[in-house]
Parts: sequence; structure tokens; C-alpha cells
Amino acid sequence: MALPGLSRIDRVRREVERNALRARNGIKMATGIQRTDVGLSPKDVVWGHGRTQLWHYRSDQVRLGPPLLIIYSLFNRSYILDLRPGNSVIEHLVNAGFDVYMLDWGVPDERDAANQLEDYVDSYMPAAIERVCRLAGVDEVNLLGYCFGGVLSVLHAAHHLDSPLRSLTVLTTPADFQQVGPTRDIMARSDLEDVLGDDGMVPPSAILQGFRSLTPLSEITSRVDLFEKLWSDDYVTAYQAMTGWATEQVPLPGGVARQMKQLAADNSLINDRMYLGGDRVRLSDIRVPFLHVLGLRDHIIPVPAAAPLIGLVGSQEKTELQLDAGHVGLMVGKTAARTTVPTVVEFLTKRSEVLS
Amino acid sequence: MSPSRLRQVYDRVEKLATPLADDLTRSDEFAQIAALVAGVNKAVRHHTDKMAARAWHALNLPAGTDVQRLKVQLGALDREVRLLSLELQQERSKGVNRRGTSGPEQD
Repeated sequence: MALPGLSRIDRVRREVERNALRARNGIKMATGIQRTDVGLSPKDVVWGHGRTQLWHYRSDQVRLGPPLLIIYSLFNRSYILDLRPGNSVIEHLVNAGFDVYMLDWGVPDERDAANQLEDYVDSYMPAAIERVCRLAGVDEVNLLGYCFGGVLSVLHAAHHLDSPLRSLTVLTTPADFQQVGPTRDIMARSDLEDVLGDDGMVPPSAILQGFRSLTPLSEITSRVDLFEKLWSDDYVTAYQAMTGWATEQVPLPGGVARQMKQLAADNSLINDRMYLGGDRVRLSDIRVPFLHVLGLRDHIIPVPAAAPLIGLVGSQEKTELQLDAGHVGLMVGKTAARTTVPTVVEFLTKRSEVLS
Repeated sequence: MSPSRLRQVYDRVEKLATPLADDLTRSDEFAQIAALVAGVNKAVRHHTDKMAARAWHALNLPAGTDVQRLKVQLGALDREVRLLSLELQQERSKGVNRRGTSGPEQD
């Protein structure tokens, strides 16, 4: 392809320069010299229990209350929400004036093998919410759940109708578990005990293989993209941050995996047959203002899996926003900065007061 | 062949191969094979663990599987304690209901 304005000599010179940069960056990556730091927004650990930590992001520009508590998923690492300076949902929310907290589940191990959904929904989340209220000196929080953290958030809101929630925002959250794709099919056919490691956890490698089977050629394509743009330091940094996150899975407690398999088999949320700790949990009991943001090109939680959620939630004031983005694209990059975050900020600002 | 030409060739191949690969991973056969592989993998692991355990037990020593089992049992106990302490903490804060707190706490 001829580039306008570039002579043949210029093109050759540019290609030689790029090849030199490719070689330099390739050597840096291969030898591990090139490292990309992630999750850099300044924060304090304000509470911890087991592997779980509650983080409070430092800010001297908090002007909106009540605080925003983010519930992360049980899959992957939470730094996707704070990937790089300038490409961080957390940074955007802090800059918008919110007092931001995040509940990070850490890296579970055999001590968590027997964990149940109830542990998160009925024990950790109430404790974290109470701690945020106490630290901020308020009576309510705005709750935001990402991916499976959204499932935990709606279950918490439905099971704890007295929970001090001002509003509930969930991002790319599944409701119809029979529509989540090949991973569900494999789970449905496998004996879960075959997948569990000796420590009673679903190993990260099994989870990674499950995600890879969703887009079988994407890994090859991403490597081809990398080779093509290896000359660009910015691209290499972004590639390392994203690839590092995508491959850095955490183990899933076997107890939760068993519940998820049952949840998918019964399609409990859709069929209104969800039980937690022996109690029936109905999403139709949720009354707080509700926002669901989902991605039209999401291959992990496709639209048919996520879209029914809005209809199940009982809130009178509820909104669904379908954006032209993938699962990760909702929270990273241009779509996040231009659409997702402003939408969430607008929704939350309406449910917040300006602090004096 | 220039890099951009190579890229065009790859894009063409990818366009053709992606729907085929997607269909494959979404097929019943793929799910069955994946489940079968997981089962075989588990059976092989179980067999080798059993042989290793027999060797260690012959020397009157605990095998890796014994240690792992113990760790899982301790883990279950650890979880009970964690949940109880969370419950206690909740009850205490409901009772006291005081405002403000000192720095980080690790329960």
C-alpha cells in the first residue's frame, strides 16, 4: 500500500527504523526487561479479611457523596479497572469527584475451596459496605458491580433489602446462564470434580482455556498485531498490560464453581429459583435505582445472556445501556473513556449530593 | 513480500478460518471431547498420585496428596472461623454503631 506524501526512500527508511525498534522491543519482551506496571492509582487498604481487601482510592477532589463501592468479579484481577494512567476507570471516577472504594477478592487458595456465593453476598459484602459507611461517616453507598461482581451485587441487593444502597450499577452482568456460550456447554457436560485441582479449586489454566475457547483465533491474531506494531512503545505497553491481565487468571473456589454449575443448569435467575442460605432470592425485590451497561460485541457475556437482567430487577427506576463494545472494551480504551464512564458518572451524579 | 502484504494474507485466512473455528468450539462434539479430556486428565493424575502415595507410604512418610487433603481440611476450618469473625464483627458494629475509625484492619 503506497502512503501518500512518502517517497520510496522515505518508506524504506521508515521500515528500517521500525525493524530496528521491533528488534529492540522484541528483545526487551523476550528477556523480560520490558515490564508494564498496572493498577497505579494511589490507594490504601482500609480493611482486609482472608484474601479479601477493601481499597480506598486517595483523592483530594472528592465532591460527591455517598461513596462509590466497586465489587469486582471472582474471575481475573481487578486491575483491569485501573489498567494504566490515562486508561483507568478508577482514575476517571476519582477525577469526576467520587469517593471510590473497591472490594478486591485477592487470589484465593485452598483455604477458600469451600467458599459459597453466600460468603461473598451475605458476609463479605455487608461487612465491606458497613466499613465504607463507617469510614466515610455516611449511611449509604452507591454500589457498582463488574461482570460476575454484578451478579454478586444484584444477589446482595435482592437478599438484603435493608442494605444501605443509594443505587446499583452493574456492568456486563449475566442473567441467562444458558446463553453464556461454549464454557457453559463444557461445564454442563463435564464432571466438575474432574476439573477441580487437588486443592479444591478450579485451576487458573482451566479458566484460561475456557475463555480462549470463546475466541479460538484471537490469540494468534493478537500476536500478529503485536509483530506488526512491535515498533511502537505505546502499543507494546498496552499489549503487555492487556495480555498480562487476560492470562493472569485466579483460581475459582470449588464451592462457588459447584453453585455456578447448578445456577446454569437451573437457569436460576431467569426461572426465579435462586436460593441463598436457604432463602429464596428474587431480583424483582430490588427497589433501588438500577443501571445495566452491556456490550454489543461482548463474547464472554453475550447480549442474550446479559439483556434479560433489566427485566428481572424490580426497580421502578431502571436503565439499560447497550454500547458498541466488547467485554473488556467497555472498561478499557476509547469506549470506556468516551461512553461507558460518562454514562456511569451521569447516572451516579444524579444519585449523589454535592458535598459542602 | 512486504509486512502489509503478509498482513493482508493473514486477514484473509483469518476471515475464512474464524467462523469455522467458532463453530467448532461451539459444537456438541467439542464440548464432549473437552469433557472427555478433563476426565482422562483427572484419571491419569489420580493414578500417578496413587502410585506416588504408595511409594511415600512405604517409607512411612506422608504423600503430597495427604498434605493437600490436610490443607483443604484446614482451609474449611479457616473459612468457618472467617465467617464467624465476620458475623461477630457485624454484630459488634450494629451494637456499638460508632462513627469514625482508625487505619487499616486485618481481621
